[in-house]
Amino acid sequence: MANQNGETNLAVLTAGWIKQNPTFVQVLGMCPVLAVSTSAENALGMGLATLGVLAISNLFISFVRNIIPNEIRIPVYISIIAAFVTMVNLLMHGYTYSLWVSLGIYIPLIVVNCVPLGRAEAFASKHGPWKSFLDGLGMGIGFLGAIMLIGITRELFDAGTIFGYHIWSSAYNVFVVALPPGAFLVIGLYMGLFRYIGKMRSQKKVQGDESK
Amino acid sequence: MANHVKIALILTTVMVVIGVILAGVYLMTYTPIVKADLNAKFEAIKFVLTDQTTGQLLVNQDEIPKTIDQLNAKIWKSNSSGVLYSNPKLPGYVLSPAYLFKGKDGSNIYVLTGYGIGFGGRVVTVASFIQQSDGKFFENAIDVIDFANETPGLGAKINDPDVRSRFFDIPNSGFKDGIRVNKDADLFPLPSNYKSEIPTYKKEGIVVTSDVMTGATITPRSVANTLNAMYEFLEKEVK
Amino acid sequence: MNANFGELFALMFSAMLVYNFLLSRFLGMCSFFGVSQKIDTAVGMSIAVIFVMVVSGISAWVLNLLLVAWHIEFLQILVFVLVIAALVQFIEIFVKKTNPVLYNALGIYLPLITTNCAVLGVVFLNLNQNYDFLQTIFNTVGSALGYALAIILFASIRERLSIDELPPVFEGMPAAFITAFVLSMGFMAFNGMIKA
Repeated sequence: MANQNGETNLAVLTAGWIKQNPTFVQVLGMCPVLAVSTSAENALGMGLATLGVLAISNLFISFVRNIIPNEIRIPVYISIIAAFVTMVNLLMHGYTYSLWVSLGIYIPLIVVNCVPLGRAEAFASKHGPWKSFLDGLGMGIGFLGAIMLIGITRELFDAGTIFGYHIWSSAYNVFVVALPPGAFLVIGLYMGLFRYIGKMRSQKKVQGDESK
Repeated sequence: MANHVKIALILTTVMVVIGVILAGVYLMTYTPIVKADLNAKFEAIKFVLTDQTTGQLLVNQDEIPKTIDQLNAKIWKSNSSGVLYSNPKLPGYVLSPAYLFKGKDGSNIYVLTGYGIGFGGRVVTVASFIQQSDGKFFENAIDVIDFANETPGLGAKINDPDVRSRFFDIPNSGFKDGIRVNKDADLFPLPSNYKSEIPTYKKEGIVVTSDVMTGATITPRSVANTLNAMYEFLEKEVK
Repeated sequence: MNANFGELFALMFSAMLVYNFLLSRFLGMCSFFGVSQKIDTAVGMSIAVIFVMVVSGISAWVLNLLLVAWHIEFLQILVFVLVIAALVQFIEIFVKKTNPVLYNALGIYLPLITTNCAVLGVVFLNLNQNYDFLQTIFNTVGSALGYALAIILFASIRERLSIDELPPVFEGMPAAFITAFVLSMGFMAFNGMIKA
């Protein structure tokens, strides 16, 4: 990524929301998106945990980027990320017990979620702390949004509820959505939908330009 | 060579710094974690000590443990291996420690923790058995406390209130030959009037789950096996 | 935990088919979608994963004994990730020296494995389940074979699919996800293999 200092802070922050969304566009860090998106609450917990790790580890990696020799940068990045994941794991165990139980082994696995290491390598190792923090935050928000969207959809079609609040009767339920295969289906359909919207938009733009 | 030493030194420093910071966070969160683990246990015990039809506690309010010492005072049986009873044929296991509470009516209420093998590993259940005046056991309620490896949407529904409640209030007669889920008892598909028959089925040791847990048999079967092991353990130890 | 060999094989097959890492546990998804366009690359990745998974599964089990003995379990995540990273590096150097042909075939996949959650996932699952040494080995081997089976099947379907005409908005990734959905449904049928 050859983005230089010309990029505004706002552009850095918002890049991960839609244009470079880690889930739907880059297709990175899919394990938690698929595995813990069975309910909106789990998705929110996982999204926030990942967001925190992403933003803070990006910040720290950016701080140390100039004193770490190139040969050992990957092990150092991984250990920094692992340190923050351990902290999140301990904090969640202590303060949000039931969420911690239902997220299970997927919290330790944030370490090997490709998004934090990918952002460390692609962005934080080349940019200053403030921008890296914003990048981590933006990517985290993009990740949170994606996992929430899938979590809400799956909970709605599984139990007819969102965050436990009743929305519609179980008659509309599509059983398969809550099953493991359902996760693939929901994401695949959303990806197709977003592409369709993107295509419609660009077509409209072309038409608009022509009519001028 | 000097470069290698430098790299090794930097790497070591980073690891030591991270290790020390983590140790700090660990110490900071140590108390809350112990508390959270205990609280979860207290919640489960309180839940199974509640009469599920009336919502009333089966024991006096002050009998419900609030600290680790109060809980330890209720230990009935424990051992160092961690497993009090095992029946590998089911398979079902009873974990240490087992607790004994005195009910309001003076009856003995045994609170046991055990596990069976579910779809993705252990399914841990806390259950309460009331010893009635005739010496027979009545299983009051269960709380499934660990089902992290069960399939979302299928087996992971095991602790949903409407699924869990199918394992409440099973009388002694049901345990005589072991309880089983309705699919294993050739009660599938269910007759149309099955809802009103559920208490009758419980007397025969049949737990109806196929309507509330479509497609999942392994997880409820593991809970049934856990309860069977608990019953065998009580029969062996109490009489 | 005195499991006989029949039970161990049951454990291995259920890890391979029923709790398939890719299709029912959702671990190792990056590589599942990333290197499955061609059968060749999928096979290369599978061999690398089998190798690293088995070696790191065993070493993590041994290391955990030390961590528990010294009461520093909270360093688990850090230690295991570093062990995997170091192992990958070590294997890379070793293969490069001893077998250049294999190195050329596997070279590019090895570094990717460090961030493959399937490897760390199997380590944590083994620990969560309190498996003894033999159970750890069989479960790890089964998981690794299951990974290989799923990704090679998936790559074969995608390779065939790439020459088909698809609705334009679904070409590429969306179609891959729908394919994974169908494959995952197929693997759910293995559920019936488990009998308590």
